Amino acid sequence: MTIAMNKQALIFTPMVISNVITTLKDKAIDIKERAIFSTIHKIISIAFDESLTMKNHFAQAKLELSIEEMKSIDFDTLYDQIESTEDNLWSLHEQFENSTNIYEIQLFDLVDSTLDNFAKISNILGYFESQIIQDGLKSA
Amino acid sequence: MKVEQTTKYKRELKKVLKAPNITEEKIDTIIKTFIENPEQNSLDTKQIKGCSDYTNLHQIRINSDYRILFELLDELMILRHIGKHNYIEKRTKDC
Repeated sequence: MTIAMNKQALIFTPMVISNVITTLKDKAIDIKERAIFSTIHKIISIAFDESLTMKNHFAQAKLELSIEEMKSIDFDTLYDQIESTEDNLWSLHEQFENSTNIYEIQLFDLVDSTLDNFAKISNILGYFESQIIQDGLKSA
Repeated sequence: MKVEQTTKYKRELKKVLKAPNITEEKIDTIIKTFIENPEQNSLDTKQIKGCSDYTNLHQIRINSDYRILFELLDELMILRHIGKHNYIEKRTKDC
């Protein structure tokens, strides 16, 4: 399912909002299913675990992945899979940022919180890359 | 100072370079300026506080819209993110 990007094509009823929520959830699952490496499943699960704070996300990520596992991640392939969805969400974010329509405000809040999860994914991956860079310099 | 870029930064950079008035040379100059004088006013350097795993996370200004987020570790600068300020803010939220 594709998230409609043309504002004029959307009629903001509760049903539309509900469909968008379903789409976003499907997208999250879709990313899980299309992930190539088992380590990625762990990262996505950690990032989308609402019971964890950001500090806990790092602690959990460190617990679950060794430096060798971190090195096995194909970061470019992973970002290829994630960025198109994130870019679409940022477009929606920009589109509804200053809206006064109640449904658009709800949609904005939803998109905004979903983008928080994407930020968590890239924070965790960025943390891994930082560890790899530092490990490489120590070994050199 | 050794400067490294994460995969994400490299990918973001390609997108940012499509924005008007932002060139690779301009970004390089801003990074060099920070290395030589971190307190330079135009950089609007900010240390991101409260990030447990990023005690040395900093942000500098490219222009009114764009920022660079990086880690500073002894003689190592790891460029983590580059993008619009609201995009960068999300990456430092609740960390």
